[in-house]
Amino acid sequence: MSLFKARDWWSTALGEKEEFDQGCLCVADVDNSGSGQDKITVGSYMGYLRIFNPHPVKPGDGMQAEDLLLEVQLRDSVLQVEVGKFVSKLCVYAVSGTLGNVEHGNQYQIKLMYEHNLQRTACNMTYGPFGGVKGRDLICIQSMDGMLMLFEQESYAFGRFLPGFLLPGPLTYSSRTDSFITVSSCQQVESYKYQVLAFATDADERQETEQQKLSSGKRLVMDWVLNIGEQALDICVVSFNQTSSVFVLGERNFFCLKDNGQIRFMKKLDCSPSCFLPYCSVSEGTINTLVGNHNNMLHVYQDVTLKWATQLPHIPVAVKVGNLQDLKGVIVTLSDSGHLQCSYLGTDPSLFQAPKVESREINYEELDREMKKLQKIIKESTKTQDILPRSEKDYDDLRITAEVSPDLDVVSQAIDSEVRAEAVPSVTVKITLQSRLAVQKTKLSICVQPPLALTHDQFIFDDIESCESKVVALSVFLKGNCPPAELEGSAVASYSTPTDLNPEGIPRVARCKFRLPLRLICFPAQPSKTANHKLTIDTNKPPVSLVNLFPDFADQSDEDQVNVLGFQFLTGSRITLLASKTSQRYRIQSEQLEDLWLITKELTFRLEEYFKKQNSKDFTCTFSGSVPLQEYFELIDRHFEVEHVLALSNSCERGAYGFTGQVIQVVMILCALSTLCLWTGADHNLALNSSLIHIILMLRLNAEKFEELLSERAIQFRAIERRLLTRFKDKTPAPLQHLDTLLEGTYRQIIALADAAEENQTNMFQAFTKLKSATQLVIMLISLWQKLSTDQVAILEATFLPLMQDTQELGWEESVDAAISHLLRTCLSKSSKEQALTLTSQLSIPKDTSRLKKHITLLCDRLAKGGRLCLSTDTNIQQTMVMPGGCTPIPESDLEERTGVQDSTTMFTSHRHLTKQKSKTDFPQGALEEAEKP
Amino acid sequence: MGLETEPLLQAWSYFRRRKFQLCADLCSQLLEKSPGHQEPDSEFTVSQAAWSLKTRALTEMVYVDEIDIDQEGIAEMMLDENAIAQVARPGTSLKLPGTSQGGGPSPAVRPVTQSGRPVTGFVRPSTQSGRPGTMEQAIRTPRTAHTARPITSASGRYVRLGTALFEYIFHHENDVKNALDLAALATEHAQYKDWWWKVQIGKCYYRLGLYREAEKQFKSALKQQDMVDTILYLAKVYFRLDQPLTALHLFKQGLDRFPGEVTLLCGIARIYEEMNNISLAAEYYREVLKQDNTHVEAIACIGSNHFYSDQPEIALRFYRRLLQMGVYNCQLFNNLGLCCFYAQQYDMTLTSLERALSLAENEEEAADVWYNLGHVAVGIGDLNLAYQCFKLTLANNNDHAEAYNNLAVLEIRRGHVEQARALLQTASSLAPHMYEPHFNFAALSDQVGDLQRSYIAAQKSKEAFPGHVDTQQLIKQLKQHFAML
Repeated sequence: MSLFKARDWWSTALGEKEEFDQGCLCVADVDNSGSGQDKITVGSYMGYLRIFNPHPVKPGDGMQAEDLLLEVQLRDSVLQVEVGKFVSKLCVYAVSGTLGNVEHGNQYQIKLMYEHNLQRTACNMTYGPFGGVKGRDLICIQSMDGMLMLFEQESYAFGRFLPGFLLPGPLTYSSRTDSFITVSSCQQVESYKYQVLAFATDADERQETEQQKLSSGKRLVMDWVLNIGEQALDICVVSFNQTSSVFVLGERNFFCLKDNGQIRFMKKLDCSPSCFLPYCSVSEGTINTLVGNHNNMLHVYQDVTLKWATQLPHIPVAVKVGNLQDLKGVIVTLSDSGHLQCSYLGTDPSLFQAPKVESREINYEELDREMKKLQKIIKESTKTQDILPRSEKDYDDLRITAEVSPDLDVVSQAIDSEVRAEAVPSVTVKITLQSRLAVQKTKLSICVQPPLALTHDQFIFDDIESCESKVVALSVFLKGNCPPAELEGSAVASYSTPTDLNPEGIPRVARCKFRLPLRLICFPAQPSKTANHKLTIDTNKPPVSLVNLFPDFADQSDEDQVNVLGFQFLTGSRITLLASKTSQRYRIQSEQLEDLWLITKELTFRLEEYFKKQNSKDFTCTFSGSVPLQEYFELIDRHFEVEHVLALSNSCERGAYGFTGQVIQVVMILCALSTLCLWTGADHNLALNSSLIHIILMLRLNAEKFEELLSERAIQFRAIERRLLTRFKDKTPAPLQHLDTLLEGTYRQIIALADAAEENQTNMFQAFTKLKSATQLVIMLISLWQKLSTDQVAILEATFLPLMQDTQELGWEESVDAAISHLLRTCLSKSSKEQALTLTSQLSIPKDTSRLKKHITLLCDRLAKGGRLCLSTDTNIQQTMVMPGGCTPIPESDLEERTGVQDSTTMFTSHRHLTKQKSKTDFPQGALEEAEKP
Repeated sequence: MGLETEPLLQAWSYFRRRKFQLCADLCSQLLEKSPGHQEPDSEFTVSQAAWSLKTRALTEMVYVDEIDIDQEGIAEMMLDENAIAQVARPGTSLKLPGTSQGGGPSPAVRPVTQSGRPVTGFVRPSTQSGRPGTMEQAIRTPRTAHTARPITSASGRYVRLGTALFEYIFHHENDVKNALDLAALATEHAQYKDWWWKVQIGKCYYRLGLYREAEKQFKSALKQQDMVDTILYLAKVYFRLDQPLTALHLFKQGLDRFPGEVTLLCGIARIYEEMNNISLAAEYYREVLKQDNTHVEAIACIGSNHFYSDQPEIALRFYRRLLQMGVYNCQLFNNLGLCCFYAQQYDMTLTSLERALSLAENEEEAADVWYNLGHVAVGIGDLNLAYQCFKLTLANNNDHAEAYNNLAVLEIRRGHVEQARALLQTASSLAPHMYEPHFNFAALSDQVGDLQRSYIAAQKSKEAFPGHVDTQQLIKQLKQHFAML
């Protein structure tokens, strides 16, 4: 991040697809012109060597032809270019065996002075007056395998292996201490005296063995070592005023070391540096450093203080300072891809030009019109309360049809069924996908309500071509040991239709429902005369023979079955269906209320089908039974409740051990009680339904208890664990004091509790299924009884069956209670007073069911008195429905008298909101995710 | 074209230029080559060198400075026994906000985070904020997209994360246990004289949650060699141990050794900010800027301080500086827009916010911008626009508690008491630490005569912001009322 950018003085791009690295740039007075003007020498990995003498007419000019003094192609890659006093002036140093030393004459010709064929792959080099030689520079080359090779002019002096070498690091020579300084791959800055190198055992004999190499290396003693804890990119020695400092550019910090290897100072860098160049600064005792980094920035530090930051057009791999054309201190940078730039620092703002936001000519009239239009749309949409947009077209790019085979499978496909029957039948469902267009990513999933189960429930087709159809077959069977609440299944296919603009495709869904045969879960049985629960359905058509209605259950030859038919569920319970011979009535009877539902539903369904076939349209079923509430049943309920709570609390007090058995007992008692209650309940469906509700509620309370106990045990478990951990962490182990036994005991308790909770859940699931059946029956009866329209039935269904699953957090009771009280408050409200009633703020498990029961009763009451179910907005608030008197008001409506509008204190809008800056830009995304809200 | 360069040299050069993928590929090629190609005696070192280079390249690809990444997982928070005092004296702990004597700003002026600490101007990791009391509470605390914490930080959330071998294991494989074993062996081998390995062991201990052991290692390393990184690591340990004063002391010692080190200064400023001592924090941020005037965090924090101390014009200058420096994102324009608004430069407000909206990268950001637009709309009195803005906020981010609250206030003005009530309840359940929804709910309930609820909500509001005068008045009034009954 910088305010300013480097001002371009002269720049050029070198070659095409050439690579450059750190050593490839050198700025010096190559041709000894004596004018003090520096030339830029650049070598590339492709073997080109170029010398530039830039003199732009005005700052910012590009390269002109005469700026390029020389361009030659050498046979090898140029790794490093240095200028120094080697007999001649220029030394070209190349990979795989050539060291050329060339002079550069006045005619701008390059002259090879000498060359060395290197035996080893070279890596980098340094030069200097090694050993204090006056007037000339020696060369030291580091090879890739860690050998320092020293050359004295034309001749090879000696070579030494560095000890413990793995990868080459940067190398430099400090003339003050006459030593070579490098950063080894052990992340250490190491200094070797030239003297020591010279006198160490000669390591350059090709015949020597590995061992000798090592031993020779060992004799090479370092002058000093400093561990800097990171790899270094570059190293540099700067000396002034009798002192010299070693600068090391690490991957994350840069260090300034004293001669003796102590840290003078260090600086942690924000982002990865790419190159650096220390130089003496104007102010006394400080050193300036240029650090280029991978964010295209060049920082100027005075010691550790950032003096200047400037933006570069590229990532520099090498940076130098030179005097070019009477301009002192020109910064010369070279990028990886060969962009060479001479620039100077200036206050040219690197103004980031924010891209323009698309703006158009503002036509106020048009805008006003558009605004009005949009406002209108918003108003409309808020009125209808319809959040989801309706699709205008009927997209049926993919059609899905399900076909249930009329007969049961010959060989049952049922697996793992828990039903305790001799044979569990299964039925095959064939699902056909037919696509009109080519669609992608098609997934088909089929679901049935448990306890029914499928042999396969997911199919994945990748692409379906247009007009292609896919067929899959699967089997449905009864898995759980209770009758299902409904015999419907659905198949859903999700797919996406690709368009030109959106090759990913627009996700779409197609679905269909299918009905499973009754035979899947029950089989014909002997009818029984007696039953606890009886339902009578009236029709307005002459009775139909049951043989015709249920051909799959009736035996054609048996005359009796014209009027009486028996069913038995796989789970065991029996239902008997009676058809009156004379009157237009049908009676369904069974021992348990919830079992009635499936048969009743099947009966009405089949009747409707039958009459549809006969082309008589005005067929209706009615139900004329009464739904009175009798205190008697309330008494039973209360009794039941007391009993239950007692049993429950007893069992809870006994703690966790052996809890499982207790709970099961409780459940057994419960079931016994409920059957008792059902038994006495006879025909009065609502009361019975409510006792079912009761069971579920109790089970849920149980579950809550379990959860509490579980969390208690878990806390205990963690406490023990913590203690154990501290014991183990101790240096001097203390005795465990049976903590381990305690841990194991607690663990067992937790497991036992979890098992019990699971059991409870299964019971709850079964009870919920029963409740669903019973509720559906009640809904059906209410609708038949009051002849409700389909819309109203839908509302009723939504009210009574809001959940697919009963969970601890949100259960059936409270949601149904909330829904019913909403209905009572709005469309079924008696007076405006009731509308003002507030809902309870939170849905939580009610303490008992009496409130819910009262509400249900009230609902029926109001429906009986002519209330209509409708949910449109207008009725929501304004409509007050005057009901004939006689209804009890909703019990807990103790609305306090409204106090007059008090001296209202101010309403605070919440504080303004300042979002935070994102973290540094060079941070990898995703590593930092703020856990707080801005 | 081009000359054949030695592959190892080429790879080495790639590594130096941070072209890690190329480097790793080249090393792989080198290693796949049958050993016969190389001279028998040198082959050993070449393949070793290639291995080393490759692990380094792979590590660098995922490297994140360990100092900066830190997020406490729920498990660590709950099973943390390292805090010295459960009930700390005022001004010595990070866990009890508002205990500082420095006089932090009141929540009425500056919004606070979940734990009651003022929001800062910069996203940064690991604050000791939002420490719930128990595991159960931790799990049940409403968690939104913003507050989702990892269950434990050992679960590999550091996605972008020999010497080379250690770093490889630690950063690339995230296998702390093995890294620790390796480091332990290495430090033994070095006869406990290598500070670097000690730091690495300390890092491992820190990751494993053994803070005391980590502290020992770091301290011993510091004795051998003063290093900025080691100081930072040690301070992090103290921070985690909830000993901010020790950390401050350490930083100050570090500054004696490395005068003007930006990271140390910044660390001090952060701690002061965490301890609610805003004025000292700002002072240190200034110090940071003296050393490094391009420090984004410092500029942003000073800017937000000015903003919340009612000097939007000055804040605006700081944010403009950030913009000039090339920060170009949604947050900045958002802040610019707000500053402009409060500095009464209305012409720039909407353009800034518009730009922020176009730059929003995700829905949360867009939600924040819409929220602020809503504020501007409230400020200019266009309640319809405000209403729609807040609606849009919620459409973008369903958990935006502030927007719920403000929407509720608008609904109250429209007379829709029921809806307002529902909205306020949502707001207070989403952000129990905000006092506004509680108070608004109390005031509303008081108006309709539901004194009981009003009292409960007012108590909650008082809990969130004890100094709120209106709440106190309301409670007093209610108490009088109850006494009359």
